[in-house]
Amino acid sequence: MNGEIDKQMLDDFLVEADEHIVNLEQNLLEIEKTPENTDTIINEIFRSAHTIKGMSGMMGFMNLNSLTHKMENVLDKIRNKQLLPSHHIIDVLFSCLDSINAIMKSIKETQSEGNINIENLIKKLENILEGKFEEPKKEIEIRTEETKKKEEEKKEEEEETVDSLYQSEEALNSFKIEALEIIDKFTSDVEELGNDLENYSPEIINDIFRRMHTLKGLSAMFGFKKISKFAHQLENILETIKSKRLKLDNNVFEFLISCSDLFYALLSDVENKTNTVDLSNAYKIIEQITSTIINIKEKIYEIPDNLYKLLNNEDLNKLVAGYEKNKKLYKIKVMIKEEKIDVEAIKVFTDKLALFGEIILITPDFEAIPDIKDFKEEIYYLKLVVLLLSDDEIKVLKEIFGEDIDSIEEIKKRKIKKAKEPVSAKVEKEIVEKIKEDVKEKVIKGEVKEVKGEQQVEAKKDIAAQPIAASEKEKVSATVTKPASLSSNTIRVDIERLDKLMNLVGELVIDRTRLVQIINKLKVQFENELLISDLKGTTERMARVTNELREAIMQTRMVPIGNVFNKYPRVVRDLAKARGKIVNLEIYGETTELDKTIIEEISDLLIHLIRNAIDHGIEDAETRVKKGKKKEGKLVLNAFHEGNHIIIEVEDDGAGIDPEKIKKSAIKKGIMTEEELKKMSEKEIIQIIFRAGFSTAEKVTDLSGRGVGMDVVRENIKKLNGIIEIETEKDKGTKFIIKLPLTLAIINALLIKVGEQIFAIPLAQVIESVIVKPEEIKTIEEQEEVVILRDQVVLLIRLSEFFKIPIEKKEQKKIFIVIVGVAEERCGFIVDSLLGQQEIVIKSLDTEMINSKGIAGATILGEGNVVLILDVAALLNENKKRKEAMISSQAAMA
Amino acid sequence: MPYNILIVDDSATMRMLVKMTLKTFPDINTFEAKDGVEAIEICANNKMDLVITDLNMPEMNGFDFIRYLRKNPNYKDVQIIVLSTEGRDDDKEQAMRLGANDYIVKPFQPFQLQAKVKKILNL
Repeated sequence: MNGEIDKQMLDDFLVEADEHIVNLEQNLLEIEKTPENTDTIINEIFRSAHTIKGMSGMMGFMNLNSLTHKMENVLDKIRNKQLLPSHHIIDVLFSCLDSINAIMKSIKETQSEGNINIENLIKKLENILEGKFEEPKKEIEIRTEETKKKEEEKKEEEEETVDSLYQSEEALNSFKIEALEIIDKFTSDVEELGNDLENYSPEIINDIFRRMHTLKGLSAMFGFKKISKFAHQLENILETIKSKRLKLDNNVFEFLISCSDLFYALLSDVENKTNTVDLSNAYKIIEQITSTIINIKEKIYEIPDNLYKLLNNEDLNKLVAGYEKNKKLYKIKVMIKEEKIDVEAIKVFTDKLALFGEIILITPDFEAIPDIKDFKEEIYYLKLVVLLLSDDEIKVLKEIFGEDIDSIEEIKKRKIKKAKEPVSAKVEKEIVEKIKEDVKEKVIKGEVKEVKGEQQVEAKKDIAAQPIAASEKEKVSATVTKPASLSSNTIRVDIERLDKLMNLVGELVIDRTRLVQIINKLKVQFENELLISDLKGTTERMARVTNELREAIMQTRMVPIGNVFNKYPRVVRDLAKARGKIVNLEIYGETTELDKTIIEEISDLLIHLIRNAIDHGIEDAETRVKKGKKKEGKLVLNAFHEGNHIIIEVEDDGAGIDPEKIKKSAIKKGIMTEEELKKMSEKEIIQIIFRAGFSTAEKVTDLSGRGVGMDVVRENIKKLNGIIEIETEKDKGTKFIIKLPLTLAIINALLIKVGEQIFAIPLAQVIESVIVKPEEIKTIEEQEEVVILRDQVVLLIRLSEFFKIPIEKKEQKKIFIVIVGVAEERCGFIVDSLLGQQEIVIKSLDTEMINSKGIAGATILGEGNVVLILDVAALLNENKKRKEAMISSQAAMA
Repeated sequence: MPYNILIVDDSATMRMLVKMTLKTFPDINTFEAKDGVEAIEICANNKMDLVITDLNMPEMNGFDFIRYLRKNPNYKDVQIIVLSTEGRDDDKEQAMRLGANDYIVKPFQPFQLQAKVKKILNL
């Protein structure tokens, strides 16, 4: 829901409604005093009621709406002289006014109408309309059995008197926070159950069970009987799942999910001191579940444990069916004589048995076989045990089979305590759906505010569309529309507003720098002027405040990276399972914060890296053991700050990247020729994986290995002005290191000078700056200038040539090179001088100016100079294109 | 010498409530632990006069915690009150058999706890 618009609307509504209520009151008093002079006044009263009716309807305050609606009807009749404004009528109208005031008060405090009872008033108004108003005393409610019962239930649910000690603000707040925490965990645990309803870990059920138990106790302490009773019932259901009596099927799961919604709504009732949640449907389901379980208990019969183990479900069913028809169960032991051991003979015997009943089971008699130490070869031990369901008496059977059988005994039936398999409860899906609808409706109507407990700005560009989309279908509603209105101190802000603030602060930052420079100049000029030092002091203060302001605004845009990381355990689990590998995911630094826009971008690229690590990095358990590693693979996600940047690492302890494999694959795919590869260092070879269309996987999986993955990673990082590095060692593992700017709006930049022109290079992309002698610059293939740094060949670009900036040609003893990186690519810019680092605010350029390739935008420096910011990625691309064009034109000429 | 009282409960709110309830006694120090494991650590470093513990907790539950305390002669004088949502008789019985001195079922009223603490510590 769009909190801001709502707030605005609500404020307007409150102000206007208050005005009308005051008018209403004054006018009613007036009428009471001078009933003869009603015409104009009654019109005004009517209008006030009418306006409040309309507004409250729009705001979704339905109690207020129906009350004023009825008032309006009565007033209309008075206006049309169908009714006389008797004392009784005026009295009723006054009590309506009191209720309206009470509702307004509740709205002001809790944004909801609260549970103010207007039923009586409406009845009175209706009576007036029907002309029954003359006998106000007879308006005694006829209480039907049902209403009585309802009232009792309500009473029961109402809060018990709780010792004042436990009603302190502090204790209550603590309760709210903890309860919300419990429900949050309950929700996520239940969702986890949903991942695999067949093979969930018993731990989760245990956790959920314990949480319900804690909630039950807690809410009971505070007298929230409704919550505690509900938690108690749910605890019982969970117990049956825990003890495997109830099968956790889809219906039960959906019910649990809906319970999480209910709990959120219940908590918001606590917060608003209202009672809006209707648990009757939930109790219906609970009853359905419990009744199934009780019924099951009565239906199954027990047979001795040692036989029970041998029976499968089908046998058991047969058995139960037989028992129900009052058949008897016999355990018959048959000694098989040596000469008789052939299938034919046994069959003849069993066929004969089958004439007298139904054979449930034929099995060798394991009890007859002694322990191995007592086993004597010469003795023949084989006996058969037959379970036979029969109508006949034991005597009859003995007579008929006397010779052939060893022993026969009847197994007495007994009631059983446990079923062999958890049973499915007959849960009516419709009711579960209804529960969900109920809660959802509340969310839409605004009865329950939608607030997230965490301290984070949920800044969605498209706020208005969100809750409606969520309410439409998906069952994820539990997570999307958390209706808990626990007064967390967060508000939702449109991200555009934050952008604007950021921009404005950017301007301030520029002016601040400018001011400092002006003062420094003034100080030189008017050395002895006292005002100057005053001005300096003030400016410094302002600079400090500006910095703080900037920090603060940056902070509002920051979101912990945990929001992204938390999605991965599931991805890793599924993926590892699908690949038959065992992978332990370790996550560190999830509280590291970075700009929301960046967070949104990195999610995908991290998934690609994780997929790659599991698909290609981590080996299967067998291979790992052979290599002497633990059979569980390790995947580490880590994030931390480094200056104004965030470093994200994805590390696995798998096979590492094999350059030989890459070479082969690159040649096979025609990405590189053998010649080219020979010239490349190992590091460069490994970076081939970032090329489009590359893949080393022998088998293409559905998730990775199509050669798109790393390409996407690279493109995403490029977009964010980040760089990526790979550290890999054979059989030790691979580590991808991603360095990204914390925010995209204000960046640290290195200022450089080429000719008379100053450029800014985003610091995130600057790897180092080096000074080399002219002779260190080599030319390869008569085209490319390169420099060799620590065994790596780095391509050079002369910015003066690229931007066609005239420079004085003179002999230079040293050349400044700024090494920059785009994703995995590295390149050096030859510049005239380095001017130092500075914080700059990116201003985008008009579209006409964007034509100049290699420029990302502009910024204004303190002195007021406009400086162009280099778009390193575009510049590198453009440079490549130009070189290629040159080569081909030269080739054409030759 | 003030009495040392350790409150063991996995719910922070519950610990707070117990602490608030005990505020009426001037001469006590309260300690808090969220499960049996934490509680044992605190007991090892501070001499406790009274332990008020929940039963249903993660890591180490109340039964195991009481069993541990009672097995170790160092803690033979520590008084134990169980404060649990479990009102079933067999839970009570087991807790008392393991060596708890008293048992209170949640939800409890402040005076109940205050009275028992008063009696046990002779306040």
